[in-house]
Amino acid sequence: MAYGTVNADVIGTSVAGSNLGAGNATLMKNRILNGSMVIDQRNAGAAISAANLTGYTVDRWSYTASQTLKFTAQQNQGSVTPPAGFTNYLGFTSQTAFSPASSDFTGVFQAIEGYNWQDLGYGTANAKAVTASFWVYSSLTGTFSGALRVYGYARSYPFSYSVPVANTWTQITINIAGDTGGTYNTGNNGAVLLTFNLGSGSTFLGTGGAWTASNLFGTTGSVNVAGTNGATFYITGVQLEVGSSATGFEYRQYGQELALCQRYCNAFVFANSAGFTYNASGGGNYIVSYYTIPNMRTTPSSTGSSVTFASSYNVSDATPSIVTYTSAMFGLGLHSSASGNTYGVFTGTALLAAEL
Amino acid sequence: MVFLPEQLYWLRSYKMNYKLVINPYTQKEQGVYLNGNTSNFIPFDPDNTDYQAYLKWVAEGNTPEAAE
Repeated sequence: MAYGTVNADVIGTSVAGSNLGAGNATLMKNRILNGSMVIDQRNAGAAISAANLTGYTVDRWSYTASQTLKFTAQQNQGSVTPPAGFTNYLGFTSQTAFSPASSDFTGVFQAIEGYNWQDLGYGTANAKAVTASFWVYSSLTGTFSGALRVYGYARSYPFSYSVPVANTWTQITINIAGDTGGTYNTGNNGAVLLTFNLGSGSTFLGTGGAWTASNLFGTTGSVNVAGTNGATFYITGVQLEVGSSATGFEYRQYGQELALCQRYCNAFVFANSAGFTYNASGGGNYIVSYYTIPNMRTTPSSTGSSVTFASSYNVSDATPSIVTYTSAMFGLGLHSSASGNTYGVFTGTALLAAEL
Repeated sequence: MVFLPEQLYWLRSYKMNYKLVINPYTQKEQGVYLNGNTSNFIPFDPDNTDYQAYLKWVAEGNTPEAAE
């Protein structure tokens, strides 16, 4: 073995209960972003609407469902004490007693970008095994399930796990074999989705423990959280790492975690702080441009923005229009109502999304 | 709001519509406003998932409103 080569799943340390994983053990160990559920740019701790089929809860985590009004989701929903080492979790509460038809699905997932997965060699003979670990708390007990799915949904690896005691945090570890089949994005599009099943029909459930050429959310016979009105499912400390052993959760500095999330969602806050002024010699259009930090995954959308004028003079618009130009630049457009000085101050938030 | 490929068929039930946006300098189409809301801009970027949803909507036979 060449000097400096690491060829093991686990590197033992002298600290009791701690090991280093293989595969760049201390850099980019956890492929999941915001696994501790601490960043919540969109909602700032508020619940997302149960009327939506899909929606981002805390950063990078999306709820998905085939029917509306099945769950509410919120950071620290229910206000239980998180497991030791964490201050936040992502909570779901069932809003009905739902018996899924075969084509129904509900779940929560995080899509991982190809750039952050390509080194694992998925879709090749060199595909590496990974290990998922997380903490779960539910009002229900039994065998729950989830899946690692290919972005594009052509393949999946369902898994199951046991929650033996209700309303108690349980740490789960899942070993997932590398996938030598399929096609995986290696650039700025999605590669895989780590998915937790909240209640799905037979079309989206199957046998666990192996890669299959279908889009599965979990395993047949697993707990249907959506089936019990008021049932809860809370999760935090999610990690997905190379190798066959779960190691300690990779904590990141808050600013580092926020910056990583801002590649996909950037809540650009104006808050009465961004002024503009120009001389409209003949009236017309004007665009005020801003740069995002960091660069986003791709040119973002601006859906959900709330930018308005805190004050304005000689502006004919009730709110500025928004356009995005590149992965790092967007603009606020406005019209002068007459020739002469035009000025004002923006307030609100431009919510820019370049999600997967 | 991001729609995933597995959810695109729900777009119809949302009764969504799009309005084209013309870049005033290049005079080329640069994106669309969702549901006529000028705060909801979707760029014509192939890697943007909202744009991918828009393309699916067009492929289903829908037509965006013309730009003003």
